[in-house]
Amino acid sequence: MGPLYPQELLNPEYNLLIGALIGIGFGFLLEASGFTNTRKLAGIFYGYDATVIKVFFTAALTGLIGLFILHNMGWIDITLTFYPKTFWIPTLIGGIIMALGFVIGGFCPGTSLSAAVTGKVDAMAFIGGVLLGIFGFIFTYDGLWQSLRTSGKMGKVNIAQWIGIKEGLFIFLFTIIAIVTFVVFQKWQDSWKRKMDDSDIDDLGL
Amino acid sequence: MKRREFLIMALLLLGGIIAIFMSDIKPLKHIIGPKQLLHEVNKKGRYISTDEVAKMIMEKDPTLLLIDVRSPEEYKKYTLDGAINIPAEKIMDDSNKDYFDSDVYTVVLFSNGSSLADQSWLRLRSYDYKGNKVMKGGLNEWYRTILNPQKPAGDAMSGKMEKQFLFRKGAQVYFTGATPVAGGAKKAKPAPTGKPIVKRKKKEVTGGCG
Amino acid sequence: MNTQKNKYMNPYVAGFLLGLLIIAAYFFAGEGLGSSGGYRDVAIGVINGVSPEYAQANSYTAPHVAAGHAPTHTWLVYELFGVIFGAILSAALYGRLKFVIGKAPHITNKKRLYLALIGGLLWGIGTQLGRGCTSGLVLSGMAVNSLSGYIGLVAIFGFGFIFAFIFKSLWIKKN
Repeated sequence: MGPLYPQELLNPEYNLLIGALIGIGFGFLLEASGFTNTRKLAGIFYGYDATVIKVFFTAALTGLIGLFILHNMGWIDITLTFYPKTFWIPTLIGGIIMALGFVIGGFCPGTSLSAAVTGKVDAMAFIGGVLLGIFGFIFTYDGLWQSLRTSGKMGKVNIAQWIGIKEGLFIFLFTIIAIVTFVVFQKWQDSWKRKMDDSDIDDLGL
Repeated sequence: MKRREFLIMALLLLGGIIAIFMSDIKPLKHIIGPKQLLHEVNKKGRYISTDEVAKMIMEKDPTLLLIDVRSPEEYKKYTLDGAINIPAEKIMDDSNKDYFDSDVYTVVLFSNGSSLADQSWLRLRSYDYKGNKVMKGGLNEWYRTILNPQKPAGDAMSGKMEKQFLFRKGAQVYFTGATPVAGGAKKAKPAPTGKPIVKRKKKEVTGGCG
Repeated sequence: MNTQKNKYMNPYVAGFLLGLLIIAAYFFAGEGLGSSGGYRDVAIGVINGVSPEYAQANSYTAPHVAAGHAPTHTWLVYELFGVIFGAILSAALYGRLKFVIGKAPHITNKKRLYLALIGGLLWGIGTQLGRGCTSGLVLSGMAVNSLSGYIGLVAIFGFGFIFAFIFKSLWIKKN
């Protein structure tokens, strides 16, 4: 059955409309779970707030398990969807650059948009930076980035097949890892709460 | 832990356990949708002329990979220099994947006419293999233009056509050993015995401990 | 009851709903949720508006302007429009719709804005090089078990902890 649009079961206008509706849900959830608060985002790295990891891993797991089961039941063919190709070198280097940007800037592109439109001035500066960065990247692409961006090409690689285990087993193991991660980060957050008095907690502006 | 949190965790864990008993998602290659495929079929960009193929063979272009998609019997009787045989029905076999997957080769598919090679091209393209070519007109065209080129009729031979004819005459000499005077095609070169060794593309660098 | 504290949705509930949205995105559009791709489309749209010749000549933008429609007429751009409305809706509901600068108290406003700009700049480069951001590359990639998503996860969060240790003074006041 699914995905509908790549199989022409959905006309392009409705597809864009559904994109906007899904975006509304996405933006709502980002804001509602506190992703527009840069201090909450930074909290993941220092342990005083575990929201990011909870939301992130729960979402990834729900999507992963849901799509896998739907695929197995024949309701959606994942092979027909956007399946990212792996270019491990640029993704690793790009990821490290993004990590630095995350710690310095305190946002990522999706959260910054939600934050900027709800009045976070720092997020507006951040978005300006993102666009400048993209323009800079485009203008210097041919001379500077092209060979790096296309290096380390591996094609469409499934991580379970890459490791060499059954996909279902990988999903199960990842579920366990995620739940352990939740517990660890919750403990970390609780230890912060114990160390600090109430004024310090208010000071974090969560 | 609050009740709804517990519920979500339990749900995910249950899903994870169910997932163990499900089968893997197999064909990872992206499949091209019918609309795009139709668009590309009509574009004709996949065709390469017999002249271009002849030129590449004569220049010993190392990137050229000729693939004869006819049956092994036909392949044994006659094929192009250096061509390997992958019958059309076996073109999607895993063992042949490396030929089409590489960015190194110019893969040229050919059959007697164009249609069998076209079919093979289409099957490859629908699994997102890019850059493969089809020799237009196939071996019939090859015979007509390269092995037995006819002088264009009339005096109105344009410079371009003359150049093409001269090239074809030269190619004819190369492929058949015919003397330039003896117009008609001689017996074609016998097919190379056995499967030519084709170097498989080097495995791409994989990450970490891959 | 601490009135100064913001109210948020339960993180597991939000994550679960977000996961359902990812499934919906894949089911309807065959796409994952993404953000940086939309930014890129907007940037290419601007370049194409200023100089179509340049957009054709640059090998990064050329495939996007050759698509047969405006480079901004993409699923991701429409999704980002949705994000804008969704975020405003939520902020209005929770009463958070006001101009503020989010930062640690000991950082000056000016410094925070410069840092945000620099951070954004790094994201702009990183997302284009790494083919996506936390949503498109990591979250959506992980949802289909793509290796690239997990590489992104390790790179962004793994190195995030290292950089966070180095730049601790930006977020945590020294005692």
